[in-house]
Amino acid sequence: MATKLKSKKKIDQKRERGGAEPKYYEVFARKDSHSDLSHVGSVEAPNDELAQVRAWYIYDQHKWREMCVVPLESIITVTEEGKSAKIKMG
Amino acid sequence: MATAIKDIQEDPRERALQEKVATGYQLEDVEEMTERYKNVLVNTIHIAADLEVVTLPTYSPAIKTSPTLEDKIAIAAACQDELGHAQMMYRILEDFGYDTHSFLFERDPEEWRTFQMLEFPHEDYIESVVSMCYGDRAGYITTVDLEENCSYAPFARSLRKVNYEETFHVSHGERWTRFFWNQSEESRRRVQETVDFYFPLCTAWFGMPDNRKTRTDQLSYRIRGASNDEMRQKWLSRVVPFSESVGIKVPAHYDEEQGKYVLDYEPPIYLDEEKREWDYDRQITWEEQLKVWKKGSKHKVPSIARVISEEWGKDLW
Repeated sequence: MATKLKSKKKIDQKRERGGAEPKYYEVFARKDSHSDLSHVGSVEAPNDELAQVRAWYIYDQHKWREMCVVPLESIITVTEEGKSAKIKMG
Repeated sequence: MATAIKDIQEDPRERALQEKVATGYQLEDVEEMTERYKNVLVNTIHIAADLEVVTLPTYSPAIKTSPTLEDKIAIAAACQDELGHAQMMYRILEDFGYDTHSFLFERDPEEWRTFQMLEFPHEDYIESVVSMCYGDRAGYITTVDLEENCSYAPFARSLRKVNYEETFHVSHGERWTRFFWNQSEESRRRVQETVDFYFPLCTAWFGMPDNRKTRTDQLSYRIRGASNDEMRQKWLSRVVPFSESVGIKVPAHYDEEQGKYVLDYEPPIYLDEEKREWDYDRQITWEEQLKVWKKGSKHKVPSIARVISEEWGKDLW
């Protein structure tokens, strides 16, 4: 039997996502100026600003020297020709 | 049923993938998977994500009752870590067609896959630190095994951060468990009482004994590397020496003859949920135990309902 919930948070999914389809960003960061900029993970966000915020809060395992996000759709694959880039969680 | 399993075992694609991952091959893409591989992988990540989230209602009561601001921050920070872990798992699950919003907010709480160890809301800060010391240690052993062995590389990689953060929870737990053991008579009594409750819960975290287990896909597809008993042994080899060094009594010891840690009781045993007391002399059957696990404690549904309906608000502090 389904459990009755007292109240349910109402979320406008379309607004949250900025569209009907989720939009993904890949997250890159470097620990200090001697380290490589590495892929650390991936977030879903409706726009660039929220992608920045989500990346910073989720991938907080280090005090990163530098962090950036790249929209997944901007990544052009070389070895995976013809496919969209694969998500490579860090 | 038996014939169905036999058929799949004889499916050359399934067999080929099992042999491939047995050599250490890691998959990077969903397209490389067989249906059966995908099912066992997704099931594993699904449960892992649920287990991360249920820590929130479990830990939150202790945020209110913990003695100092630092303690409150420590618990809140651990909760934030756990939700961050869930976020990464959701991100992976989306590649398999999961919708995070409906998965988190629209699922019936009874459908959540939780383990008994994480279902009892902490009554005080001592319970939180004991739970970090013994419970997060158990969780850590399973997630380290996944990081080291999981044949789906994106999941294995995502667990680096998870395990990095879990070590903080475990060392925080050990440090404060030791502190409260030495602080006063009363706090020592409370530590022992909490360990008495958590120890069997944590040994059960690793599931059925190997000789009772019927589903072995996690191992044959190398989603995990170690069996239930191997991981349980690893956990015992950490927590028993720790407890002995502090002076905490635990129902397990190292058996010289067998060369391994053994429990001083025969699981599964009866738990009085109301009193939070185990009856070490009252054995139940594995069928009864599975029923208890499946149903969940009385806290399970209200806790998850609370997460879903976001009733934290001003009550949080």
